[in-house]
Amino acid sequence: MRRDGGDYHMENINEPNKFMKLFSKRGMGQVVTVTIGLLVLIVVFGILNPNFFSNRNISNLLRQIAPIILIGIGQSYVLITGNIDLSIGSVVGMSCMISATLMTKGMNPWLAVGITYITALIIGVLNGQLISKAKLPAFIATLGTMTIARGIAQIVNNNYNTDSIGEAAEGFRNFFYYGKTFGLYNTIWIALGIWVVFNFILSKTRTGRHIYAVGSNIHAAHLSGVNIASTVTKTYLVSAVCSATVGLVITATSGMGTMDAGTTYELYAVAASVIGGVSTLGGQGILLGTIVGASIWGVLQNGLQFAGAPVAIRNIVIGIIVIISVLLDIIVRANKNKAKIKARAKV
Amino acid sequence: MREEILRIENVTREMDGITYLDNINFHIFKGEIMGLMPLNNHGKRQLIELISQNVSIDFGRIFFNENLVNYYEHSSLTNNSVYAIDKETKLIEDLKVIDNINVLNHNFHDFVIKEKALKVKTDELLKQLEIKINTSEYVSKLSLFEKTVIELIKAIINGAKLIILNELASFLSMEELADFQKLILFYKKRSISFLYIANHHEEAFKICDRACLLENGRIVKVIDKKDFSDEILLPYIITFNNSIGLNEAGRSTGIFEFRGFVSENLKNISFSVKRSECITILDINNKGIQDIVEILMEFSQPIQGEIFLDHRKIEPINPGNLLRNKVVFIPENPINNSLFHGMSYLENLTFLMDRKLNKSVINKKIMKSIKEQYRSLAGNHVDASDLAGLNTKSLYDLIYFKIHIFSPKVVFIMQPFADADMYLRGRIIELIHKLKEKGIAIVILAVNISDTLAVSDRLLVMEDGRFLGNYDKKTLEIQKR
Repeated sequence: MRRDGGDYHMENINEPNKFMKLFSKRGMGQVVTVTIGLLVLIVVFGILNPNFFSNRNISNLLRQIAPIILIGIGQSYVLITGNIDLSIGSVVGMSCMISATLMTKGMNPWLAVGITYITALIIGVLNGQLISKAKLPAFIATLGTMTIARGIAQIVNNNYNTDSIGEAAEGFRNFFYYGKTFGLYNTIWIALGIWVVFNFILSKTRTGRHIYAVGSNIHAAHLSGVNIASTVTKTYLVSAVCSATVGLVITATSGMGTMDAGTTYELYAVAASVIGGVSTLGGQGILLGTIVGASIWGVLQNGLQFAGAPVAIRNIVIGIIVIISVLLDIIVRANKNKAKIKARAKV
Repeated sequence: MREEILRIENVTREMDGITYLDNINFHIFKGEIMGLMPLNNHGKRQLIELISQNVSIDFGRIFFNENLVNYYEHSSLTNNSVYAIDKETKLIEDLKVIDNINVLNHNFHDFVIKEKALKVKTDELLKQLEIKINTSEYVSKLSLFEKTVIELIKAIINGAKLIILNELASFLSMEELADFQKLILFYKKRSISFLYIANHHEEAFKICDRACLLENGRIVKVIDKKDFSDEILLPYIITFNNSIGLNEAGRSTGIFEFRGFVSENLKNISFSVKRSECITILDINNKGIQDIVEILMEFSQPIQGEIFLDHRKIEPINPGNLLRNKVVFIPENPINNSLFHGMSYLENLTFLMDRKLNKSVINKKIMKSIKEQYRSLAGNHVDASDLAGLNTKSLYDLIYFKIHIFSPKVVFIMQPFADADMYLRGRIIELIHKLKEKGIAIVILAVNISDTLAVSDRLLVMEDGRFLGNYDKKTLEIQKR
C-alpha cells in the first residue's frame, strides 16, 4: 500500500462490566425494563389492596398467567421469524373440544390427549407450509386456519358443547389443572416446563439460531443454508403444541368442552410477546420477556379486578400498554438504525 | 465565459456531531462532465443529497443555474433540477416504460392517457438515441442497463439539468458502461451536466472533463483534463500489489469444477479452481454471472451442468448442500445480504460453526475460545450484542472472519469491491488474501475488473455466456505494458 490505510486500526473499547454484559445480551434490555414495570404494578396493586399478596391470590394469579405464558411462547416463536399466528385461539378451542368429546365418548383421557396434540400439529404443519412453501402472507394463512380450527371445534360435537368429561378423567384434570406439586398448581409447572424446553431450544440450539436468522434477514439465512420452510414450520408447530396444551388445561378446568374456548387468545398471545419485548418485525425478543409480558397481563387483570375496575377499563389499559410496547420497539429500532448510520459514517 | 450549473462555496454540513462535508468548494459548468472520486465514502451520500435538495448547511452557499438556492442562514428544502442515478432504480417497476418516461413527469397534465401517441413519441426518441428497448414493456422486465438508460432519459425529459451518476461501474458491465457513456456524451452536447462518481480514476479519466477527489468530506484535489494521469494521483491513491505471488494456470483440474453448465445465459460453461487459487470471472455484458448466482442459490435450475468438489459430484445444488460440502457464497452488498443485524457479533461470527462441528448446541468453551481468538483481530467488537454500532470496515471484517472460521473449500464472491471506497477495497483485498493463505479456493464474479486483479491468479473473460479467454496474471501484465 502506498498510503497507510490507517483508518482501519482496531478500536480499543473498554471491557464491559458484568452488569453491562447482562444488558447487552439479546433482548435483555427490554426484559429488564418491563420487569421494573411489573414490579411497580405489583407494588401499586399490593398497596391498593393488601389481599393482592395473599397466598391464595398469588397462587390463583400464577395459575391464571400460566396459559398466557404458554400461548405467548408459541406466538413469540412465530413473531421472531417475522410472522404471526392468528389461529392460536381457535386451536385452543379445537383442542378443548376434541379432547373433551373423545373423553365423553369413553376414550382413555391420555389417548385423547395424544390425538388432540396430533390434530393441533396438523394445523401447525398446515400453517407453516402455507406460509413458507405456498408463500401466503402469514396473516392470511393463519386467518384461514383460524376459521378452519374453529369450525372443527364446532363440528366435532355437532355444534354443541360437550357434557362433563366424567370421573374417569379425574387424573387428567388433576394433571392439567387441579393437582399440586411442591405446593404449586400443576398448570404452573406445565407452563414452566414447556418454557424451559422451548427457551433452551430458542437460545441454545441451532434451530433457535435459525429462527432468529429467518426473522432477522431471510436472504442471509437462505444464503447460510438455513432451510426456511422447515424453520418456519417448526415455529408453527411450537405454537400448535402450546395452544393444544392450553386447550387441554381449559378442558381440565371446566370438565367439559366449550366451542368458544380460547376466543381472542391469539391477541393475548401477541400482547404477552410484545409487552415482553418480542418484536413484531422479527428477529428480536427472548422467552424470558414473554413470561414477564404474560405476568404484566395477568397482574393487570387481577389487580384491576381487585381495584374494582370494570372489564372494559381492563381491556383499555391492556390495549394501551400493547400500543406503547410496539411504539417502544419501533423507537428502539429507529435509534439502532440511527446508530448504524452514525457508525458507518465513522472514517 | 462558460455558464455554471452548480457552484458550491465553502459548504460545511454537520449532522449528529459528525462533519460530513468540510468546507467544500467546487463548481460544474453547463455541458460539463465533472468526475468525483471518493477516496472514502465519508460525505458522499450527504453531498449527493445536498446537490439534489436544498437541505440545511452550517456554512457556505450554493448556486444552482446561477441562482443562490441555499446558504447557511436559510435553506428552503426545495429540490434542484438534479437527478441521481445509482443501482437502486427509481422507476416504477410495475408500470410500462412509456408510463415511466411520459406520464410520471412534471410536464404531463393530460387526464386521459393516449398510449399509442405516447409510444410513437417515445419510440422516436429512442430511435434518435439509437437505443433498442421495447417501450411497451414493464420496467420490471428490463435489465439493469436498460433501466439505467430509461432513468436517464426520464430525468432529462423531466427537466433535470444536472445528472449525478453514482458508481455506474459497480452495476454495469464494461460493454454496457461503454454504451451508456455514449449516451452521456450525447446529452453533454445538449448542455446537460453530469457529476460522474467513480471509485476508479481510470474510469473517470476516460469520460470526464475535470475530476476532483473527495476525502473525509473534503475536496482535496481538482484535476483538469490536460493533467489526467496516474502520476498526479500517486500521493492520494492506494495501489494494491499482489504480495502473494502468482499461481500459474495449471493443466490439472482444480478441487472445484463447474462442468458444462447450460442455462438461459450460460452456453456450456466449465471452469475449475485449485486450492489457494483465486480466479475472476469477468462478465463483459453482465449476463452469465447472474445465472451462476441463481444456480448456486437454487433460484433457477440449469438445463445441464454438474459441480464437482474433490472429484465428487455435489447434488442437489442448493445453498444448504453447498455449505455441507464447504462451498460458500458471499453475495453482493454482503453487509445487508449476509449478516444478521439483530444478532450479536459472536452469533454472526459462529453462525456456520454448527455445520462445521455438526452439533446443534455449541459448547460454551468453544464459543469462549473463538471469542478470545477473534478478539485480537476484531477488538472488543466481539462483545457487541448487535451490529448496530459497527462501522463498515468492521462489518466487512466480520463477513470474512465468518468464512475464515468456517474454513470452506471454495468461496464464491459476487462483486466484492462494488460500492467500496478506496480504503475499504484495500481491506477487502487483505481479507481475500487471508482466505487464500488458508488454502481456500476463491471464485470472484464481477462485471468490472476493478481491483480483482490484485487478488486474482487467473482471469476468465465471459461474453454472452461464453468464455472468450483464460489469462493468467503474467499474461495480463504483459498485455497491460
